[in-house]
Amino acid sequence: MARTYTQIGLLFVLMMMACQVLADRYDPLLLRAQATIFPKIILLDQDLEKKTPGNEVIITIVSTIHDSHAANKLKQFVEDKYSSSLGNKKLIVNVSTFDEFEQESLASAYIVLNGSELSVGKIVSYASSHERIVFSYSYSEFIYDVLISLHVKEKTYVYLNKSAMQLYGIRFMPVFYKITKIIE
Amino acid sequence: MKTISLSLKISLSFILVSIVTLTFFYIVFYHLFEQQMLKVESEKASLIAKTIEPLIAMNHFLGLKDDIRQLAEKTAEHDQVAGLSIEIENQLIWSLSGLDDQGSRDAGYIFITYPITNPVKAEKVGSIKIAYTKEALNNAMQNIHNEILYYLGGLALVFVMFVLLTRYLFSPFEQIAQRVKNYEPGSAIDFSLIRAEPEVEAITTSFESMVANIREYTVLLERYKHSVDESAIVVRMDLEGTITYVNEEFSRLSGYSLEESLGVSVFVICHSEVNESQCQEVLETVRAKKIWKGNLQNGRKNGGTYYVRATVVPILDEHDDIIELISIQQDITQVIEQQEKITRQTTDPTTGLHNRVKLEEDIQHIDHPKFAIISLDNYNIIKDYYGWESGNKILKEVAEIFLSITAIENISVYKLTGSNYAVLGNQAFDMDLFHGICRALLKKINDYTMHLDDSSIHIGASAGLTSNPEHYYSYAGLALQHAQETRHLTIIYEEAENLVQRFENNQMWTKKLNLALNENRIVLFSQPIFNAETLKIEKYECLVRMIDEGDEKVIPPCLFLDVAKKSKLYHQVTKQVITIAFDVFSKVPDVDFSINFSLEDLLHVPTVEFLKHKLDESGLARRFVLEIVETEGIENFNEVSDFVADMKIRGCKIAIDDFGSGYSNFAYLMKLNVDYIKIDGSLIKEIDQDANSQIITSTILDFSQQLKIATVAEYVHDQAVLDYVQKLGIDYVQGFHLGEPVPIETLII
Repeated sequence: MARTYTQIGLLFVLMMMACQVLADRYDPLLLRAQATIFPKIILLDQDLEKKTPGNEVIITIVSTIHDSHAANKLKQFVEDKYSSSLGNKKLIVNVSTFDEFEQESLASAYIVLNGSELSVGKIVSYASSHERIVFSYSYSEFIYDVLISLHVKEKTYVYLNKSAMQLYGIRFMPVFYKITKIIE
Repeated sequence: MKTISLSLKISLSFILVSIVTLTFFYIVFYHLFEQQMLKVESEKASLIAKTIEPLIAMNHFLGLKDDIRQLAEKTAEHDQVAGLSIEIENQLIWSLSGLDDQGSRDAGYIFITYPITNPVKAEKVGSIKIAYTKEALNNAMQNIHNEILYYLGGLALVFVMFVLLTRYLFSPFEQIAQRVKNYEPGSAIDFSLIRAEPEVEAITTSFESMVANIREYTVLLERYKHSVDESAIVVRMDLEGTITYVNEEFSRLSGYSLEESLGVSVFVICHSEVNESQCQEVLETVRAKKIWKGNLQNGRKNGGTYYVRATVVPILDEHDDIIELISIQQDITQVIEQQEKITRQTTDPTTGLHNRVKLEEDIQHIDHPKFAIISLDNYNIIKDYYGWESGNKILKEVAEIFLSITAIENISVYKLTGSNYAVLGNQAFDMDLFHGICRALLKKINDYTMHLDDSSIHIGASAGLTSNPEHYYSYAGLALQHAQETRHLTIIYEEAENLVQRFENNQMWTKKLNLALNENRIVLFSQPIFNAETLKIEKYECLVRMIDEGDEKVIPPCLFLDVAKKSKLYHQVTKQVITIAFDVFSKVPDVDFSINFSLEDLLHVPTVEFLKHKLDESGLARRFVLEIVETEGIENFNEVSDFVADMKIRGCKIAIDDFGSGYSNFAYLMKLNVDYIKIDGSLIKEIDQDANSQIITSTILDFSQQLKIATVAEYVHDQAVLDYVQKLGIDYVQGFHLGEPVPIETLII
């Protein structure tokens, strides 16, 4: 019993440490906010129907293997928020790494966590060629032509990468552009 | 109420219409504008909602509630947004104020509610409510008010300018009116210096044309007036008859000058009271707006009178009221005087009945006349006994009786010579009816009692009737003579056989006489008249004879003179007598000569003129003696007297022939101032034996001697008579005993 409690305690400590680690890399509140808003943004794509075969919205969360926990967290947040439906579509949330995402079926949209230029760039290249939105955890990824990000300061800001818009060729509802913060 | 000028009326009308129109448009457009503004404000409010709704919807969709609030706050900052509430999914996300729709609407707010729609599902998820103030609307309306006020001020200036401009534009009409106002017919109007727009020019041209026409008519009227003034008497009066104008003709005729006539009442120039009542009648007629026509007798300034034929006309103005009276008169004085003269000539002065002149005139117009001569049987006796005046009274009273039948239509009565009257009936009467009227008339005369002095006298009368239109006078005379001779009341010529014979006899003698005249078989015989004392021939009496054709038998005048008178050849006989007498005695010097001159001769102007001509031509007046028969001329004493006076002025002598054959009238002798009295042969014939003749002749002689009238005894047929008359002292003797009538040519040796 004591051993168990000790394991548990260690586990807890590890988790705390993990959390701490996580706390150091990914803000859970931000993840939750992104989990809430990013799927909705997908719905604002005017060409969504082409990107949701079988009436399924597939969101693939791509991260490094080290950030898989955060990715799963994010997935969890999404699933908690939306269950298995997004709007009138079925919602499927996948988690993948930068190396393996291509093995997954083409998603409706991608959410990338922090990654290298090469990694993120691969996702961006892949997704943009299929006119899929790429969200990023941090808008610092915009330099890699990530399209949309979200950040919470005094309020929630949705960032849109203006220079990447032409790459993706995605048409959002016009009003979306009004509520976003355009980053050039 | 002062009359408002046309320009002012136009201006006021324009202003009134403008104000009404502007007010109308103001009200309409203000209302429309307000509604539109309200709509715009509502749309603005809606636009705000519409603008923020997608953002709110998106923010809500994305869960960015802070953005919603931020947006709401920013929206609420809008000046016009008084209230804002955002409700999503039954949750009030944001609300500015607790504005209630009901109450706030009254406070001047616009409320709009805009749905919030899920951007993806397009489902309403909530609503935005905005309370939008009307402040902008109110400010806009206020600005409009202010602008309108400014514009109204400008419009007032425009109106003032319009009034002034209108007055300026209408000023030519005022000028025209002023110049026309003082226009007098016949003069010209100066339209120079009047602004000449086409309309004004059209008016001035029309006026000038009118003025020219008026001047033309005025000239014409002046000429008409001049014509009337020159040809008639013109008097203008007011309603009271006061003279306001007279022309020269009036002044000439009346003697009153224009100045004397003006202001004088027309009654002043009325001649008499009778005329004054007529003048009053004239005034009453014309005051009743009727024209009066008639004759008037007016007085001259010198007291004389003149007659006019007047037409008095009331002159009416445009309201049919009388403004003055005009009398146009023609001088008919001569006509009246001629009428009076004719009346005098055709009127017997004693009785007032028409005389023979009128009878002859009237009978010419009747196709089948019925004519009667009625003679008073014992008139001469009564006249001689009671005198001239009584005789005239009788004639007048009988005339009254005659006048009583003139009430019968188509009956006329006349006074002839002496005591003769005539009755004339036209074709309406048959002889029986006419005869009955005459008999009734005679009965009246016969029954009538006249009172002279203290005596009652009855006058008898007889009548001769005829229906012959040609010889009415002679036939009626013959019938009368026959009635008197046979003591019948009436005799109708056509019913008396003797008269026919007499007529035929007259016809025969008329024919003989006519022929004798044409063949110069009317000759003169002369019988000497001796101075009774010296028994020297001092005169010759010319006696007319007719030489019968064929046997050249000498026919005495008794056979043809009466016929001559009746057949109107008498004057030719007289003329022949005068011609022969003067012709012979112009060659037989130193003796006087006389011819018999009847009343008919004396009254016949051509005969008298012929005699005068002969007297003047021959220079034998002082040797000429006119013998006038005594019994004639009494009734025409004035004419006889005038003639005698005329002859005596020429140097002729007058003898009364057959003096004493009737009933001598010494007064007659005295008045005529005769030179000789030829005592009738009936008194001389048996003077040596008849005492009455002696007495009468002596009386005549005494009378004559006292009057220094010479006497001539006629019919001295024997010595005894001669002796007697010489003894009496008669101045001259004449008779077969001393010398028979011989052809006058034998005197020329």
